[in-house]
Amino acid sequence: MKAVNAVIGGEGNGGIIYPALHYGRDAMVGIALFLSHLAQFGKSCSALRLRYPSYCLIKNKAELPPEVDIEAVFERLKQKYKNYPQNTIDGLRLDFDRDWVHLRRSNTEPIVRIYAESSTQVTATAMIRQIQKDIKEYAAMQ
Amino acid sequence: MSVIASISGIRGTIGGKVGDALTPIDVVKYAAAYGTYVSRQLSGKRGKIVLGRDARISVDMVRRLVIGTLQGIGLDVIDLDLATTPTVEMAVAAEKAQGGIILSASHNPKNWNALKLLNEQGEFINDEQGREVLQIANNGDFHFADINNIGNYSSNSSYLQYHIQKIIALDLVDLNAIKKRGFRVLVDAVNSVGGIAIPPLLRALGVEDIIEVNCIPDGNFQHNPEPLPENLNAIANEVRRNNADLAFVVDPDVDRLAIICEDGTMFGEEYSLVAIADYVLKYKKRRYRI
Repeated sequence: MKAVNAVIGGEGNGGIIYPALHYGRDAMVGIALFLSHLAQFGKSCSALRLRYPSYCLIKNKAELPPEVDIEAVFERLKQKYKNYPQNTIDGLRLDFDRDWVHLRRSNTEPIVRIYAESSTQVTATAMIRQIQKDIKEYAAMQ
Repeated sequence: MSVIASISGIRGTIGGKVGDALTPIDVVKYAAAYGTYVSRQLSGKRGKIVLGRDARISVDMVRRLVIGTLQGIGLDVIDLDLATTPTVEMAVAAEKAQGGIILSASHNPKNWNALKLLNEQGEFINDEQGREVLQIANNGDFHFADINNIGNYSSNSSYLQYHIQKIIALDLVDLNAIKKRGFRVLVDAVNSVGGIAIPPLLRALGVEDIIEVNCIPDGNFQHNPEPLPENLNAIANEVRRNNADLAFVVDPDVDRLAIICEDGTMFGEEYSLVAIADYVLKYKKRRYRI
């Protein structure tokens, strides 16, 4: 956020960072900004929510035996999905047309966190299942 | 039972064997390692650390251990006592302290606790600094002050007001519009520090009709403290029953925000940031576009 001079940032888990106040997740400044937004909007909270497109984001994980080389699993995934745009800034993100999957390894446990977003729950669930299957297969090959 | 020492902090469950949980011995070990790390940067000068805590049942025990340990290292302790994570972060900068420790396991269940470690800017220490702290802890490479250099202790309860005043002074916080709407707002603070922080914030923002749920900060979390939809069904019913315009749900250390609409539907945790970014960018877009 500092590098790009971001005016607002945060995380999908409800963490709001507003640098005009300080660089840290802060629900209190989030409340003040949200109420200002809703007050100016002039209608109900659910009407404000409907202004934003709806996506289904599913969070899941794949558990692996501790001895598995997770980096090697990621390499194989990159190969398998090499025809799709990939981003490795924070784990591995794969973009499929209008949907995406994001994989992150945990610093503290032998798991890979899997996030999948799509306009429908069916597609998001299917993407999670496919990636879990891929990971299991590549882990077993080691 | 477990203790997880990572670069962003030390978290663990309370009770059990040393090294296998966040026992008093482990608390002192990591507090001493962090204190030693901070005092190394000071080259003999006097330093101070800001301390804050959430409302966990175990936190009074943990904070007494941390205070004594930091004083033993030779650091002055400014104790905010019950304070949100962002309040502690802002106090570190305002006090020009050399660092801060927040005692809170954030959204983890009540048998967990953690030491979250801040740098002199009130931000989480980085990877390299975190590794150095863990190295000091693992090597037992602590350094304690002699009798003439033991740190002082003082408490300061003014930082919640400081935090609130800084928020209401922000350009994009529209006090007139909020007051005019006459919102009825329900607050669920899951029995932690949000219970003493959010209602006064709302009053300062011009909200007069506030319904407090789980706002007694006694650490007996009335639902799973992670603000996910599956943990918020009872609160959604309260929103409808009370005809509230919306509800704010925070986690035990008030760094995450979930919103519930007037009809009891979840605004969605991913959408808290979406809506707020939409608002901020409405005013800031042009100047900052890259």
